[in-house]
Amino acid sequence: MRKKVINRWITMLCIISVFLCWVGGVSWGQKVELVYSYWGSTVEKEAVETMINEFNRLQPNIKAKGLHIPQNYAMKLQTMIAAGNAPDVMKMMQNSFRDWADRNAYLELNPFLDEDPDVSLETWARVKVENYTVDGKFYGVSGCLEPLLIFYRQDLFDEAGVSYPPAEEPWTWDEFLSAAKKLTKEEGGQITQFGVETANRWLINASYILANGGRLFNESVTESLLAEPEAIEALQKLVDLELKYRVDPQSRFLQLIGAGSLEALGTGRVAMLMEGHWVLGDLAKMEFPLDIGVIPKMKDFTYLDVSSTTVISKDTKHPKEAWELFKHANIAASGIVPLCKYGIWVPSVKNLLFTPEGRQLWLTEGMHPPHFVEAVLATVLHATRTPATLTAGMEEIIGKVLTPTFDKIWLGEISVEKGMEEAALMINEILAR
Amino acid sequence: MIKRKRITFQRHRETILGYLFIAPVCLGLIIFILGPIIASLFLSFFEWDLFTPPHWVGFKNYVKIIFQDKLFWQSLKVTSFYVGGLVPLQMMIAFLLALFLNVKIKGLSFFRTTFYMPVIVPVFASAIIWLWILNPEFGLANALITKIGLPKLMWLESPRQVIPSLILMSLWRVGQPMIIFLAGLQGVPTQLYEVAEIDGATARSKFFNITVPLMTPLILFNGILGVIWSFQIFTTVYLITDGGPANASLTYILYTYRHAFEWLHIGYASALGWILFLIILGITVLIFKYFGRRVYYLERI
Repeated sequence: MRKKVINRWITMLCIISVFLCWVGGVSWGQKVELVYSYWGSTVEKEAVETMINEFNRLQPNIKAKGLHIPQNYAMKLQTMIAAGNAPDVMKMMQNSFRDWADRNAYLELNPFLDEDPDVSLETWARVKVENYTVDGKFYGVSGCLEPLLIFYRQDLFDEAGVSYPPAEEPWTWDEFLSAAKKLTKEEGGQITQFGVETANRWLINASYILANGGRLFNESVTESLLAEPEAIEALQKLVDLELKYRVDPQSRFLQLIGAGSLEALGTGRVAMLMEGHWVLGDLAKMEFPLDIGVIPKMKDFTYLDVSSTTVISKDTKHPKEAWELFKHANIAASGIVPLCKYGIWVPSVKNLLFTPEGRQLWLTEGMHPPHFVEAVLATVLHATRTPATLTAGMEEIIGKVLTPTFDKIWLGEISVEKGMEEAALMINEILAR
Repeated sequence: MIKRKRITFQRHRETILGYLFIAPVCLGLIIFILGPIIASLFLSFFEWDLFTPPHWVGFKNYVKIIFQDKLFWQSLKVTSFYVGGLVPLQMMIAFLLALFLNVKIKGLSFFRTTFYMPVIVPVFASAIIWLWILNPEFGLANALITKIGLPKLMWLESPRQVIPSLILMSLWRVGQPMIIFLAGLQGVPTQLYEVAEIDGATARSKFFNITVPLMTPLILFNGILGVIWSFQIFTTVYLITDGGPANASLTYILYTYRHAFEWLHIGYASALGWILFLIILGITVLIFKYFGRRVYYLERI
């Protein structure tokens, strides 16, 4: 009998204490709670946590929490949104940005910008702001830019007696091709060294379509212009690197895990690697004389910046506080400088990138190669607004149409003209929805 | 009279306790598995992009899938090719390996461990290594086969070779069905073999008249599980080939995933899921019907 009574009391105590904890959590928390969701490696996680801790210190009434989602980011975010649990501030990928923008998932930030003396549209690089503005509505930026660059091995260039890729005035395509040819070595029927590796198909193909005077869509974004001669010419030049001149190895999958092309440069199997800036961190760790040059031009010198953005969720319960967090995440040196030092980010904040004092904060000997600053500045100033945020359905356009079509073209199974014609038709179908 | 009452009361309590004990599992099953399954059936008759409210379209998704979607048929073809190539090969190799590992030789546990180890290697890690091995320009596989004079293969980068390459990568994990066969082999009563030997049976007839018939339940088990499981291949393809090249490795579940989470077509994806369910169900029923009767169960002999 006594045992039973004691048991009952203990049970009651447990239930009451759980209830108290719940009540306490709810009523004692006078602070506004915010959630910041992001993806990335452990290095990026560290930087974000530092930034968030600094933010919490500077804003005693706000308690921000970082939500690190390293895998299946879109899927997890969608689940949270469907459950009405969207994070307040979230990182967002470029290719799905417009899908969600068109479905009113984001808070429009112009009112905040107008009122806030600390930031304006001039705070960040022009292309970054352009990329994420829809019909005049500014939805977000992030602290980084990712220029498309040529990473090369000085030793292999010296060996072949070829002058280094320029760091400011780009090569013409022919100059680039002839350098790549001189850097391609064949031994016993096998190519032991390739001149260049261009693995990142979406980034490179889309950039060069733009660089050749072509466009992905027409003005009103109702039709695809991929079957136009400028686009076809640009792609043909790129395909020829692999199929006609054999100066570029045929390996589509290296880019999926991002590792193989880096090792190829690291082991001297290729002399040049055309890729987004983010691979610098890993390349700098390898032991070879690395330097950076600008990509060659076609009709123009330009590239498309694929770096992501941060947005504020439309359903946030604390828009003013979310704005503070958004602002801090995108201008605070504490969140940006470490990632630049690790060779993962190029800052998009103008006074960190375009002023010598700003650059001093993050340029690191041993990480940033000799011609880094010239090449990056020259490239960034020539960026074109990305077509990926001009329309919804971009994930489908890239995943369902462009990637398989590029695959077929690069395998030599279909000509560029035919491929682009088919692709344009399929894209028009998607755009019509 | 009184006795019956007391027993009923105790019985009553035990029944309640019993239900309470299984309640967590049942609740979990209902909330996390049964619920979503029913919800997805429901959703398959709607169009939903997660942000705007779902709107009813009836059987439109199903009609679109079967009659207008080239990629649906492509993914079905790809997946069937994969399953049809993998399952028979996997079972034969697993069976043979189990036979070898059933013999008492030195270092037996070493061999058994080695063959089973690939099963515990995480998929992502093995994916990266395989990517390297099968790299057409720099990989080990091509280095080896060109050394013996064979032409270079494109492996994961050729639309015709990508599925056989994936089958090869899956066969590396053959340790899993092998262990099940091994357990089955050890369950065959040795008296049967002894009796057969006394009657003058050769190794060959022992194999075909004792081993194989008694293993048929496990062969059926591994076969059905193999089909059901391999039809749903996703992780490897998602990580390594992303459906390429040119949709040559676009497996059914990868295609479904894309519709659901990359292109925001939740209703369509739900319909795809249910069609897959019907397909796998149909195949399983067929396998049971055709092979079910040829299975010998020891207890019935």
